[in-house]
Amino acid sequence: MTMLELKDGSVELDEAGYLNDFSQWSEEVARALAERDGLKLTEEHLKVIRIIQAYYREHKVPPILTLVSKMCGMSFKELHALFQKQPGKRAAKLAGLPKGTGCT
Amino acid sequence: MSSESHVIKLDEIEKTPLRDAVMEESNWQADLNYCMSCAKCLSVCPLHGYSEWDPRRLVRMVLLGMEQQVIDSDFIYQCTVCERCSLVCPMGVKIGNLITRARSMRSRDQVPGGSQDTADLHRTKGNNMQIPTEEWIETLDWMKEEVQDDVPDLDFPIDQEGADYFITINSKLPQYYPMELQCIYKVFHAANASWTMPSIWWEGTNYAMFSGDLDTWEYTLRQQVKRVEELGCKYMAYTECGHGYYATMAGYEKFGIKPKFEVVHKVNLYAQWMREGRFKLDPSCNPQRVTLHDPCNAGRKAVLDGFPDVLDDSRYVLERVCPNFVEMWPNREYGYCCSGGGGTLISGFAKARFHYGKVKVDQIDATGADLVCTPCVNCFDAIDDLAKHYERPWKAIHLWALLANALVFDDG
Repeated sequence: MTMLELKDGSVELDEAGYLNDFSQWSEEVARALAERDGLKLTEEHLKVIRIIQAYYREHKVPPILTLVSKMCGMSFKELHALFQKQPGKRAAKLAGLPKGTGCT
Repeated sequence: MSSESHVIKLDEIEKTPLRDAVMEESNWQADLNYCMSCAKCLSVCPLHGYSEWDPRRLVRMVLLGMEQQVIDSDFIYQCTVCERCSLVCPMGVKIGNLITRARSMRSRDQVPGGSQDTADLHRTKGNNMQIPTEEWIETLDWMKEEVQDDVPDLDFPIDQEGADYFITINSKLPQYYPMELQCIYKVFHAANASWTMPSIWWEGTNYAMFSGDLDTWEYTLRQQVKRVEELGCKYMAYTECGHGYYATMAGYEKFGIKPKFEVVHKVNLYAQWMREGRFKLDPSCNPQRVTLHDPCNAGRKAVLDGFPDVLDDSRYVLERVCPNFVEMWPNREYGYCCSGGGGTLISGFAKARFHYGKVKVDQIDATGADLVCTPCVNCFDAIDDLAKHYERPWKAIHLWALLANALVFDDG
């Protein structure tokens, strides 16, 4: 079990570095996750993350990248530039969503 | 002797459902009794040295009636089902069949990790990531519009009856990597092929084979066959997914499915079209040093079972689109697992995976390659994980990406 250290306490990550419990997500968790992954989190990242989370809360499924693009009003290239690589997978991870099913 | 040792009287072993199932499956040809305990299997097993288990022990335990311990063991889900053991076995024992059958005897709620959830979604939603049809089609169209910036006349129909090729896609692409779809579009367009994207049953993987859910394995295959036949396509172009391809070919045999179409791996199609001179290529677009990882399922396991494999054709294509192609060693039938085979990518044994994956890391390092081409979405993510975990600079890449990058379009 990997622990993600925070200012006050820590949260558990699964073996692939995803947050084990979505309810434990906070901006601080997202920042620490991003840092672990070599990314400095900005308000623009958080905007995308919050949209993904709202969708996940309602549908219990992570949105596919087409939807993320539409909901955020950003093109794929803009999302890619913002998250630097693998925007769909990375944004979902930073949003505290569990690792997806399938070979990911 | 340890206090746990006990005597097993062979003539007192009464019920052997696992052994009987494996024997029956092979028409009593692959007799586990043939095993000579020579240990060639464990000499090539990725788990040897990590686990106290190995293929030889597995066979011994089944023969000694210790089936439940086998079925309950972590080993059967840590195994990558790469079947190097079956390749080297001098007596032709098929360990892979034994693993799959043992997994099938595990209670479904005791399957570790996410492979059974993935299989359940495939069955109930038609794809591994429960992508609704509407969003799937929207993604297809979105990517089409993007690619038309480069290739204006590129177009394709969805659910076109009578098209030659029914395309399968791994759900990971629309979910996370939709840009990769553009590569596939470009290849089929450049070949001037008659092709269609299906709106349903397009999933190009089959995790039910890995979780050991034989019923869902058969169900999902039959649903896909039904859809291809409804559209009257001549071929199902199987995507760059080794296990999905193998699960399809082996599953058709296992479940007695006789489709009215032919299954063709996309890599074999690229090579065929290249031989026919359908592509105009500029290999200088791929100047990096590129090596090849042979997927076990579409390589060795296809060879062992007599299905068309991708070993020659992936090299045929790579040599023509990458001027700096270098072989990895060992390769072809003797290639070593990516570290994520057999469902291990999501079965929850990452420690084991990174342990035996280090062998793959060393093999890749020795090539000095910048890019590791692998025509398999599962191997792609496993190699990507290895690069991150071991902080290596090389990157995984699909064959379709290298081919599409080298394609020259007259009007683009």
